Amino acid sequence: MRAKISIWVLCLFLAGCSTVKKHPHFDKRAKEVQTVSVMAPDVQITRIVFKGDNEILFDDGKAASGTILKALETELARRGYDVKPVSTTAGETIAADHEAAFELSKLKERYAALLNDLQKKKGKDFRLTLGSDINRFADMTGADILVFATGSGYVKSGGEIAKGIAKSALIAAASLGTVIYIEQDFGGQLFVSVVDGDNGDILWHNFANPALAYNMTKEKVVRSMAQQVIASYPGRMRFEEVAVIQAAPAVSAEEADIGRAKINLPLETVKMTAKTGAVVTEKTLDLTEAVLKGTLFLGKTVPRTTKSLVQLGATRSSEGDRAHAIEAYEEALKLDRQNPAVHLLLADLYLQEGNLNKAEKYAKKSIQLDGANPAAHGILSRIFLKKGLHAEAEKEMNLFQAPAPVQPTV
Amino acid sequence: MPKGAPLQFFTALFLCVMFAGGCGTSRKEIVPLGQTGLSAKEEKERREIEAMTRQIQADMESRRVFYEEEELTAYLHEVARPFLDGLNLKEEEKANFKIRVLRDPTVNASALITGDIHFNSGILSRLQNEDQLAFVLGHEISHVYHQDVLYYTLNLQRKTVGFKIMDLLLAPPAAFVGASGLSDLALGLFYAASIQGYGRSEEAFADKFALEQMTKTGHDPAASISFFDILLAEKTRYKRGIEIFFLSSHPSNTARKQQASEWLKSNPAKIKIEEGLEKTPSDRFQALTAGVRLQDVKLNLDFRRYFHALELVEKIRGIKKDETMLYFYEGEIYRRLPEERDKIKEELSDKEWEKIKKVEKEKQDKEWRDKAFEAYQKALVLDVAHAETYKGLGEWYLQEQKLTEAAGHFNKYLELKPEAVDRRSVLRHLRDIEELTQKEAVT
Repeated sequence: MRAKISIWVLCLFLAGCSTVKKHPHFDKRAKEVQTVSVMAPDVQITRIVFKGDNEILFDDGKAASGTILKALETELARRGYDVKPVSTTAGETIAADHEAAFELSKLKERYAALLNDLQKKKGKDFRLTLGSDINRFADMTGADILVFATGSGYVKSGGEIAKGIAKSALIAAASLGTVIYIEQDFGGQLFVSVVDGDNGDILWHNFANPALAYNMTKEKVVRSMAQQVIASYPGRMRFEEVAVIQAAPAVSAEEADIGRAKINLPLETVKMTAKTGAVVTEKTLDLTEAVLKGTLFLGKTVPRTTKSLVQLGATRSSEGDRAHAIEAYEEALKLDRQNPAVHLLLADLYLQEGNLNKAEKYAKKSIQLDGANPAAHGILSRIFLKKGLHAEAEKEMNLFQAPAPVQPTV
Repeated sequence: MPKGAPLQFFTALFLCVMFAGGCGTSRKEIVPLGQTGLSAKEEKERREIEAMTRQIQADMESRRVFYEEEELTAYLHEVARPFLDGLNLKEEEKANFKIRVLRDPTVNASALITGDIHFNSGILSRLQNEDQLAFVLGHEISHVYHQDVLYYTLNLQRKTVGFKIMDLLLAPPAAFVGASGLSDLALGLFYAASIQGYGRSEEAFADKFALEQMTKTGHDPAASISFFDILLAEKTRYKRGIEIFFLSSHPSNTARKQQASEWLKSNPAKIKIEEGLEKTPSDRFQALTAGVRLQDVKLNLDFRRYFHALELVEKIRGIKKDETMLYFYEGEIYRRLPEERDKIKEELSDKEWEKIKKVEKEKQDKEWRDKAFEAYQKALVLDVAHAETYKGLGEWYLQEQKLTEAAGHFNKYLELKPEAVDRRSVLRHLRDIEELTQKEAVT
C-alpha cells in the first residue's frame, strides 16, 4: 500500500514539475525567431493483444500525427509566430524529391537517437545538434526554427483488458481485498523539440509525462498532450509587449487609420482583440506601435498616462532595469488602479525578482479584474510552481491553456 | 506442504505451459511456400501478417529508405535466380522475391513474408565477395521459402498465451508476499528469452540450406566461414552494430561457424563438385557495391558511428576511385572524434574503448585533430576545388579558435558552392565569427 501511495506522490510530483530543457543560448536565439515550421511527427501506436503478436495501428498513428501537427501549429500561431505549414508547401517538394525525403527520414532517425542522449542529460541545459542537414528543410519553408515531434502509445485489446481485470480480481480475492492491483489499459508519450534552422541545434525540449496515462487513439487526448507540451514555450512577443497592448485602450478606427497610413498596413490583415487584447498577432503589434508612433509623429504631447508609463516600464524592463520598470508600473497603477494588465506586469516582474508573495498578490488581483486573460493564469501557475504548490499550479496551467477567445477583425 | 513447495509447484506448472506452447512446431511440420497444406488458421494468420508487412513496406517506401541503383538490384536478383530455380516454385511465386538494399549502416539482412529480402547497406559494405553474398542470400531465401515468419508468429502466440495464463495463476501467490508486480517482471524476462528470434533450429536450418544451395549454384560454401569471421570481428570490436538482427538473435556466431565447418568437412564431395565450377568473380562484386560502400561511410558518419565509418574508409581506399571524397570523410571523422567521446564509448567494445582511454585525453585529441587536418590537406591535393573540404577545414579552424582562417575557408566554400544546401549554417558561422572578432577587438 505504501508503495502505491509513493507512486501516486511521484506521479503528482512529475505532473507538477517542469520537464523543459533548454540550450544555453536559447534565450538569445528565441528573441530572433519570427517564423516556425512543424515537421510531420512520427507516431506509432500499438495494440497489445492477448496472443502476443501486437498490432501496429497505422491509421491511428497517422491520425495522431495529424492532430499533433495541427495542435502545435495552432498553439505556436497563438503565441504570435508566423507558422509556415510544411504540409502545403514544402511537403510536396520533399515527397517529390527522393533524396530530400530520405534526408528527412534520416534527420528524424537522428532526432530519435538524440532523444536518448537528451534524457540522459542531467540538469536543464544541454547542447545537442542535428547538424547543418537541417538547412535544406528550414530553407524550403523559410522558417527560423523547426519543430520536431515524435510519439508512441499503446492500447490493449479486449482480451488483454479482460486478462488485466481477471488478474486484478484474483489478486484482490487472494489478498482478501488488501491489495488492489490495477493495470493501465493504455499509455503514451510525446516528445517535442524546437530546432534552430541555422545550425540544427536543439534549442528547447519538452515531453508529455509518460507517468500519466494517455490514450493516443483519442483525438482530444492527443491534442491536449501536444498543447500541454508546447504550453511552456515562450510566445513570440515578450510578455511586456503583450501587456503594452493590454494596457492601451482599444484602438479606435481613427487611430488605426493613422497607424495604417504610417506603415502601409492593409486593413484586412489586422486582427486584434477588442477588449483585453490578450492574444495578439504580429500585425496587431505593428499596428499598435504605429498608432503610438503616429501619435508622436503628429506632434501631440505625450501625457503622463497609464499607457505612456507602461511603455516606459516595458522599455526599462527590456533593458534589464527591473527596479525602474517596477517604479514606472507602480506609477501607472496610481493612475489606473483597476487596470488588470498593469497588475500582471508587476506580478511578472516580482516573479523575476523572486518576490513570490508580491507576485502572487498582483497576479490574483489581475485575475480578479479580468479573469478571461489566460496570460494571468500562466503567470500565477509559474508562481505556484516556484512555491511548490503543484496542484494549484496545474489548475492555473489548465486555465492558461484554455482555448483563446475569438478575435474579432478590425 | 513443506516450505518452498508452492514456488516449486508454480515453477513446474509454468515450465510445463511454456514448453507445451513453445515446442509445438518442429521443422518436419513446415509447409514450404507454394505448397498446399496450411491449416485455415495458418492461412488466416499468413494473410494478416502479409497485410501488416505491406503497410510497413509502404511506410518504408514513403521514407525513401531504399538504395536505388538499377545495376546493383539486377545483380542481386541475378545471384538469387539459381537459388530460386532450385526450389519447387511457380514463376509468379519466384517473382515475389524482391531483393533490395536498405540505406541502413547496421550489419543486417531480413526476409519478409511477402518475399522481399532486404540487405542493409551495412552488411553489403562488409561483404568481400559474391560467395559471401550468396551465403546470406541463401539464408534469407530459406526464411521466406520455409515461411519462418508465419511459424515464428504462431509459435509466439502459443508461448504468449501460455505465459499470460501462467501470469494469472502466479499473480495471487505473488500478491501474498506483496510483490504482484514481480510476477510480471520475473516471468517477463524468462518469457522474453524464450521467444527471441526465429529460434536456433530455424537459423541453423537456414544456414545449412544456404550451404547446400551454394554448391548447387556454383558458389564456394567455404565463404560462409570468412563471413562468420567478419561478424565475429564486428562483435570483438564494437558494441553498436551487433545489436542487429542478423547477428544477435541467431545462435552464437561461433556456434554457427562451427556448424558450417562441420558441414564442409562432412560434405567433401560437394566441395569437389564446386571446385570444378568457375569461381565467382570478385571484381564485379566490388565494382557493383562500390557506390553502396561510399554511401555507407556517410551513413555511419551521420549516425555517429565514427569507427565503423573509419574502418570502411580504410577498406575501400584503393578500390574506390573517389579518393578525394574518402579523404574528406576521413577528415570529418577525425575532426569530430574529440567532441564525441560518449559516442565512441557507446560504439566500441569495452576492450577497444580501454585502448583509447589509456591515452591521455589531450594527447589523443591532438592526434585526432592532426589526422583530420592531414586528411583534409590530402583531399585538397587531389582536388583543389573540393568545396566540402573547405567547409570541413572551416569547422576545424573554428574548433582551433582560429577565426580568420575559419572565415576564409567558409567563404571559399560558399564561393565554390554558392547554392549549397547548408549555406545557412555557414552564414551563421560567419556571423558568429564576426561577432566574436568584434568582441575581441573591443577587449
